[in-house]
Amino acid sequence: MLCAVGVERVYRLGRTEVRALRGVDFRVEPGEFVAIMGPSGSGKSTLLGLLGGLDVPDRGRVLYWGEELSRGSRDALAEFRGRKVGFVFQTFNLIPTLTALRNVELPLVFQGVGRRERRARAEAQLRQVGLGDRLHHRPGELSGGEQQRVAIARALVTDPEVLLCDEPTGNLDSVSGAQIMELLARLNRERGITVVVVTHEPEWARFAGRQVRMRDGRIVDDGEAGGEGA
Amino acid sequence: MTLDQFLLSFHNLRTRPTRAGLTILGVVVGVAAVVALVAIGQGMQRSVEEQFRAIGYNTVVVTPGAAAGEGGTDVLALGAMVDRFSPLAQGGTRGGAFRRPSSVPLEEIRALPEVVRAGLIRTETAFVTSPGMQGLGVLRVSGVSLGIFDDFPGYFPGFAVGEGRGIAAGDRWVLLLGDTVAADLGARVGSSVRIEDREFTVIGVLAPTGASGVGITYGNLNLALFVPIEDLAALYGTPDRFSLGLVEARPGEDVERVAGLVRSTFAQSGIPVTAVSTKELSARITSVLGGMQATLTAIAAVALVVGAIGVMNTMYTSVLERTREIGIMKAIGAKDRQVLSLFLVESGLLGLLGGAVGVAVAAAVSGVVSRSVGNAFEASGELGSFAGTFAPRLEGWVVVAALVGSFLLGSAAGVLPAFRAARLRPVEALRHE
Repeated sequence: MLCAVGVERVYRLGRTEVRALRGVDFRVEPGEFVAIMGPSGSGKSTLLGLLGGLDVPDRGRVLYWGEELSRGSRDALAEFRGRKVGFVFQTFNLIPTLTALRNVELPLVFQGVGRRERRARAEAQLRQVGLGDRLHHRPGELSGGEQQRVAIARALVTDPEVLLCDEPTGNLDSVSGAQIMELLARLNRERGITVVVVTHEPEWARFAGRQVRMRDGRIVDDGEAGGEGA
Repeated sequence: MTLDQFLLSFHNLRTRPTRAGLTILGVVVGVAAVVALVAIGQGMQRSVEEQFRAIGYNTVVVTPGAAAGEGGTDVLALGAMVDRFSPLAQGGTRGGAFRRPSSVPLEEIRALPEVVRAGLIRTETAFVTSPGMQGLGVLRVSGVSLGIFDDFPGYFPGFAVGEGRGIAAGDRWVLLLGDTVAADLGARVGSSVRIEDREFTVIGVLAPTGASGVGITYGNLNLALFVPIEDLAALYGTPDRFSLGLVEARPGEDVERVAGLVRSTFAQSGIPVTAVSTKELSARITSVLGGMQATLTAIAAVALVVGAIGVMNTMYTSVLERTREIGIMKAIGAKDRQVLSLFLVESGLLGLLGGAVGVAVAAAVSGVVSRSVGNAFEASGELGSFAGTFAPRLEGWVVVAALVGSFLLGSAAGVLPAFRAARLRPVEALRHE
């Protein structure tokens, strides 16, 4: 469904070049739960950004159902981000001045969905992640775990095919982290949503059906869960 | 741009009320300055037009002295108009040493078939005393030709005899007093008042009037002393002098041609004059006022530019501060143009709010300014008739133009910051701390 073929990505930080990805081939199939692991700087977040259309590769291709993302216009890419994928970030990335409900509604605002439908869908999604009683709280009034659940509700409200999660438990204590991972696993299991999680904590990787290891901008192991780690 | 995106822009403004308020204040100053000046300028133009309409557009205004080049420049023509208020206003000729001064050819003008009626005013500053007052006053005395109040009522707005009667045919050494002057002199109908070295009998006192004659009309009638123009000629021994002539052309006649006839008739008597139709004069004054207004407005527009730079500054800061937010919006599907319009509307709203408050401030300020300018003219006495010229006029279309203009100005100031926001790469924007 979503695959990267020989992708390379180079960042320039001042005069130095950072080769974040050095030729990566990667593939996700519908319904999978994949964990991408590796030390920081190994290129896992960069890969996730390329898969979700937040960035385009310097070399190589990212394909969604066989269609090359980087070929499309900026608008097409925005459309892809808005409808086909949902992002969950380590720092939640909620808009602090908007309530939980408004944050979850926001993707639908950009799609031009009417107010009534938007509100209903956002409310339903927040209830599903267990925040039915927190609709009108602002992010600052919610715990870290709750904020991340708002972010997941926001990612889900557009009915995406893939959920791309960049260290979703990185800012949470272990109890909240476990709850978030369980929520993702449940969504994968019950709704069949494809989930790709970037993490550097092996304990979370056990939720995934497949573990991918990266180092220095390359995939060094693309095995099944428990293949190597168990 | 949907309503929801509009509301989002508005929401963003509300989250930083102090900064938004200060930015709006910058726009307010500019808009208020421009709108107030336009309002004052339009008020002036309108009052000039109204005065000329009252006098009638088929009237020729005659002032002593030839304008430089026939027709003269606008400023000179204006100068000649204003000169009549001066006690030194004189005909260009006092008559040579070897020539007896000739009389102002009023009857010849009246006899012209193209002319319906004509009148003259001669204003002098004279020593005036009366038994009812102590000491003596230096007052403005106007000699008027017979029937001028009936013939040219537009020139004497609010004129009405309160007590006694007006000046009639054959009257000599009689005096018609304004209400305030009569009180100051302690004079009433039948009293005797001394002007220079002649006794005048008061035959009438004007009803007090609130209509302040403005600009080109006579002036404050409450302060008037009217005598037959022949008396002033006799008093000063200069029958060739006058301050202002009014000649009404017969309907259907070309007013400009009548102006030429008036000029040549005066020239035959050896008195060079400037004769301009009210239409022409109105156009000249309007054009001078228009030029003045345009210059002042252009200067005021500098404040507007400063306001716009303030909006731009605020929007750049806002884009910088909200870089991460922009990244989030893009990550959840916002298109470039949606981000662009979000920021454009936000800066447009800054402009619009500034414009709305600015218009309100302008309405208040222009009122205060014109009152104080009016009072200054009133206090100056001689130019008191200009006092009412400054009633401001805030036309509906000016308000609409100011609101639309300030929204566009705000949006224009936001274009560059908004483009910067729209072009941000989502992955970089999200990394922004």
